[in-house]
Amino acid sequence: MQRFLDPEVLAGISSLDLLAKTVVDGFVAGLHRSPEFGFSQEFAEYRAYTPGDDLRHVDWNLFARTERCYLKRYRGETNSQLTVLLDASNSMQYTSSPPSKIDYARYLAAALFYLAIHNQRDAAGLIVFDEEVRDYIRPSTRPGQLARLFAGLEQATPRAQTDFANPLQHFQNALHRRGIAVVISDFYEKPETIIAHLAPLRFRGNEMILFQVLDPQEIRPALREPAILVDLENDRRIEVIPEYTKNAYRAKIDAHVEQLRSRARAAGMDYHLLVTTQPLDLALREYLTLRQEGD
Amino acid sequence: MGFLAPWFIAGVVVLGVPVFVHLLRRHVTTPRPVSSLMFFERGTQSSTRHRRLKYRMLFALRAALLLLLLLAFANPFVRRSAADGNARTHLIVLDNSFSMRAGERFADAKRQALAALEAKLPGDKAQIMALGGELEILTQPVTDRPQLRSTLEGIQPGDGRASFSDLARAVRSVAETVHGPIDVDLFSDMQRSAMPANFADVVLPGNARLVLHPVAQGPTIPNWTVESVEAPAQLSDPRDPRRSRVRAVVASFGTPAARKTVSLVVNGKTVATQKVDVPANGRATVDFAPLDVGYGFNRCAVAIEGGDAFPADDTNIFTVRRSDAERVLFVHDAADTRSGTYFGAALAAGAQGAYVLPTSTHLGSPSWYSPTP
Repeated sequence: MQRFLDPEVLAGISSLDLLAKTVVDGFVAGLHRSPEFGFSQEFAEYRAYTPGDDLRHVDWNLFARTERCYLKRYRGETNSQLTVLLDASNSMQYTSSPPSKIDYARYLAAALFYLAIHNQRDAAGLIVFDEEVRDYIRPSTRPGQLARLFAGLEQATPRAQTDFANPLQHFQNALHRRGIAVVISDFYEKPETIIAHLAPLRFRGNEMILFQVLDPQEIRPALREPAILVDLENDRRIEVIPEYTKNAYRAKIDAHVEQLRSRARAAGMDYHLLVTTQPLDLALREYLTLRQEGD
Repeated sequence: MGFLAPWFIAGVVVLGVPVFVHLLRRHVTTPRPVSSLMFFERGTQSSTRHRRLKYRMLFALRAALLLLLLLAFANPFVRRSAADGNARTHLIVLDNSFSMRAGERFADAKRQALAALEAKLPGDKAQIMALGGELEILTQPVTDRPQLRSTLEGIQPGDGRASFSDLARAVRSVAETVHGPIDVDLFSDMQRSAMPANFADVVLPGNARLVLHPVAQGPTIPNWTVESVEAPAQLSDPRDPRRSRVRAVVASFGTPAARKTVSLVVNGKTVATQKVDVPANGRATVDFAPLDVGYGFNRCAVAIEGGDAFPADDTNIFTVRRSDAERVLFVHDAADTRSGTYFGAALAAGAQGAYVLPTSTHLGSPSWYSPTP
């Protein structure tokens, strides 16, 4: 099943629905051998009904006795709201070999949505942003939500530049319930700026996961001779020599990753670097771990 | 060292082509997209670095190939040192043709050749040649004096005729490999018959010097010889006046007019004798007819009476085969009456064979023809 989590294999699947099902089913099949994770239906608590809750989860027996609406909640169903913030700026279209960063991000988001809605019955939503919010799908568990999310992912084509300020402000305004917020981006921004924009979400009780998606050539670029590099977001050009990429560049990108990791942890967020050649199970495992910790 | 075609050296400018390919043409950069230039810094390669050759081994091979081509077209040569220039190559040519048998000619020539060999400088190379019926190159150009001497002493007089054109051709061939001065020492009786018809055939190369050592000193030795014999190789009918005859030419060299006896000898038996008047330094013709020989091969000779210093050329030997004529079946159209005549005439003209083309007026096969079933 591990083979179906390989991005190179997933790149050959055109349907996000099928792709997500393949990934999650493969991932879950692997989990069954692990006692650490599970989808137990063990009773956890009663929660008062609030408008918008699915009536299917109302405990009608309790309602008959007390004439009050309570939702019967099970272990593994708390904090059940997943919001994916997908960076769809121009820099995400970079690729040295399939899949591109935006495709990898789509696979990742699709797998998370499928896992959340189909397996966990969590509410899931999507925010596609670049320098502003381009698409917003409210978190919901309603039928057809998965299809809407996949359609939103399909339409998330890279353009413009990245700016975390406006999209995160919009997310804060739209947020009514605590949940898990997953930010998928290449994070070409100063770490302190990124964390400064994300920290308010954390302060409001959300669990934050930062997935930094990078291409292998961005971590260890191979440059044999001087080349003119063009910035995909602002079309700026500079000439770079191979010696720089071998030494100074690597030190800088490593420092950036490390600084982002440390600052994220300091702010109570999870950070993971994902290379586009890396299988998706790490991200799914991280989501389930965080979800269980929130119970 | 110099160049015979120095203008080709100007082609060195062609070496600029690999320099351009490896130095200038390589400096082309194509823009590469990246996600962000956030971690990149502008870096311009120094001009020295830009001008550094790419793929040095390939460049060296390309440049060397062009250079070798240019040098090859420039035709280089190596100028030898003065020491090498003084070294001479001696071609000692000893005439061992038939005329050298006369008297002491050959012995004198060999003695003079040995003396010339002893006189050469120790560092000089020498090569021995024998100029007989066919020029023989007996040694390579070497300095080994004992080897040269033994080779020279081993030469014996032959029966051939010397050819100065063959000698000149050999000297020209030697000059292609030996670029120093060449001394050609010719020990010969300088027969006129050795000269070619065209004087250009005896032209020697520029670095060759001809030194003549004539050995036919004193009065000319008289010689009578049977110069040529004309006889049928195959004879079927001794009574055929056209074919059954032997014609010999008797020549004299350095002799007064004389009456000589010429004999026809068949299988060791003299079958005819004639007297012939041979003019001084002239030729006379003798005919023996008919030629009556037995069936099979017959050893024949035309001999002239002796009395000169060259007994070996007094006899001219030949063979005649006696056999019946071969019958030939000529198949032709009945209406064609001329082809048989023409074909028979063509067969009769052949000198080497005798054929009979019988005529037949019948439509069937001739009586003597019996096809194998």
